[in-house]
Amino acid sequence: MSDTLVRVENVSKKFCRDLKRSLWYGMKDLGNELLGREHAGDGRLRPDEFWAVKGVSFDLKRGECLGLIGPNGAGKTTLLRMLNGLIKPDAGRIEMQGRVGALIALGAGFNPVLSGRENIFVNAAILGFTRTEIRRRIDDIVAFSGLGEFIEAPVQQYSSGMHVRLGFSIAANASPDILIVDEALSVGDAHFQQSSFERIRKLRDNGVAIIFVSHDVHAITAICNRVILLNRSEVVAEGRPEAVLNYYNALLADRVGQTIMQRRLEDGRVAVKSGTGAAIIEDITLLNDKGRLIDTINVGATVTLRIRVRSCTPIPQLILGYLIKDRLGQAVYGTNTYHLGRPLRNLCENASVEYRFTFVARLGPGSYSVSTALHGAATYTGDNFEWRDFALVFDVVNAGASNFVGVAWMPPSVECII
Amino acid sequence: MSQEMKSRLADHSNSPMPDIEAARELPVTVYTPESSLRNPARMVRSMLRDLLASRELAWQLAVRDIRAQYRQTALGLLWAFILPMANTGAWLFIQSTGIVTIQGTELPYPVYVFTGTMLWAIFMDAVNAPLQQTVAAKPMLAKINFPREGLIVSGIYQTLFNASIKIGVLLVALLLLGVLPGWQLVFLPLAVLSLVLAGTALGLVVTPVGMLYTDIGKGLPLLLQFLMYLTPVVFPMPTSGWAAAVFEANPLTPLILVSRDLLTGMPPEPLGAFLLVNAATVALLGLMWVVYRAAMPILIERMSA
Repeated sequence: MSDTLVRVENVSKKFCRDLKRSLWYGMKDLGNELLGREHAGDGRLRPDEFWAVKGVSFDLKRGECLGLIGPNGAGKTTLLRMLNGLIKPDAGRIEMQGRVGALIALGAGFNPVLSGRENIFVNAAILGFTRTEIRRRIDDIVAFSGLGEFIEAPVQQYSSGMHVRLGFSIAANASPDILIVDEALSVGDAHFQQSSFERIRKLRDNGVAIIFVSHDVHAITAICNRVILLNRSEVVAEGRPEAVLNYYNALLADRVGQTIMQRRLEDGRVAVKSGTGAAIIEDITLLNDKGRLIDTINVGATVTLRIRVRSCTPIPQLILGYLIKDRLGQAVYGTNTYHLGRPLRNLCENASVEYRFTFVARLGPGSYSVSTALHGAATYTGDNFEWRDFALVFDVVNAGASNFVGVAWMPPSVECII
Repeated sequence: MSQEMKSRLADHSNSPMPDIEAARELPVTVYTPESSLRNPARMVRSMLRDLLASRELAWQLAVRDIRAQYRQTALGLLWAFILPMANTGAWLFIQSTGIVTIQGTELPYPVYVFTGTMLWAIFMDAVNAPLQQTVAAKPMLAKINFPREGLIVSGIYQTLFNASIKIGVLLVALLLLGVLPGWQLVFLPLAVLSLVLAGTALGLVVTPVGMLYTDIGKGLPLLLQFLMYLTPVVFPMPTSGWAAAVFEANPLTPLILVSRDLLTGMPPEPLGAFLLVNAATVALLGLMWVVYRAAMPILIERMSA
């Protein structure tokens, strides 16, 4: 009995661009299917066809959460549909063990005229609940949705947030072995987002294998063990969330498809560098208040981040930005010289500039990294000269301040009135 | 998070956790480009399993649709039989003014027409149901994997519901017209069921293509109207000429004739042809079921999300 619940081997899928031709191919595929022949031709592209998913492989074990990210149109939803059994792959093999649940179309089957309670029965039946199961869980579902007395009102009176809350509480009450989540958590108020996220985390801890598609970087880092990056139908990166997300950032900033270099640091983390190279960072170091090079600083110490930049071509506008991230890749503090009001204009070729950012490190103990970006526009997504993740790593230790936890050091003065 | 929220979440820890023993029984599903007809035994097994699994779903969908339909109307259940009644009225009017002379029905013409149009309305409901239900479920089809048989069975449930109202009205009207059905009425449900199944089989024939090309759905009412003129619904069975041959060959003829006989207390005829058509219906239903299943993933691919 293996623990691997999902096995995807070299799966591909193609679609047709032209509508009329697509319908005609549909008829031909139907004929082939009924005659017992293999689906969709001989595995090559017919006229007007393109690969939506190509050569994707991965495994998923019980209790693991796999993140699936990628730009719009990369093939994520198509891959999910194949995992869900809605469409057939054109090549490869998918093996799913156990019951598959999906947080994809929340509130499917709802009839607007009927009340929320009546619609619970319909939606739950579509998701595979039996009537006894529904009756047993209906109180839980109504309570989790937080709709109160509105549960008896017709669904056409619901806001879209209420719709989603009801749909989510029904779907989240199922007990699947594999759960597919497709960006279903982005709707709803903050309260609801928290509780639904918590629910998914609980399912993962209970041993459900989860495939999580999202554009929310924080959600991915918080819940996924592994991440796969899909771009234009293929897997371009796979690994730990931080590394793949860094690569994804570089991809987004660098859409022209220039070289993205990756370098493995001593502790196993992966540093990513990308950009046109019109300006580069020659040197980046951390200095203490006496001007000496350090890599470990004390909580609350004054430090200077010294960055030396060189321009390789004449540059009309140069902006330098940096982002301090904690051990988990969550952003702690980031800014750039545009926001600080100090952009550089009209740099000539081969000019050398040194920046010194001096600040008080009000950080908690732990390991931190600095990412840097050199760009021409106000944000890094335009005109990217150089982008570096893990340009610098440093540690913060607590020698002297009272004990505390967290990334931020905000010591209070205490007053106690009896 | 509020205290209330925390306690709600705590309750969910009672959800059954898949333990190691139960894990051995996990069903395995495999998806490949291979045709599902390659392994007929496996296909039949999964068809029956899905049909069983869809019972509750079909019921919930039918209840939902019927409730929603009548909740929004002012006339309510009246709509179930108002159209065939109007149709009957039209034909009686035509008969009485002599615009078209219709002769040769054993029963008084009003009875003949009324029973015919009601029965034909049941048949039309049954034919339209599969395509209607599948199109209505389009938003769900491309997103959730549920047994599709539920849509068809839900259509059958709804047709039977509407049929029971029609038959009820019909029986009341017949009594008022002085026609007393005999003990054979007991068999009427079987005849109506065979009519519904025949209609469903025909509806399933057009459904896959009708999902891709929308003009099929529009052409269906036209086709059915034409078919009505070739079945003993408003016209009596012709005794000579090519019309007689067509009426005889029409598989729907025995279904309508036998149902009408059961309603009006006449000996059911022609029984042999009736049983033959039923057998053919069952076979067609099985075949179209296979086609429907095989077509679904392909249709979903080509339809937009």
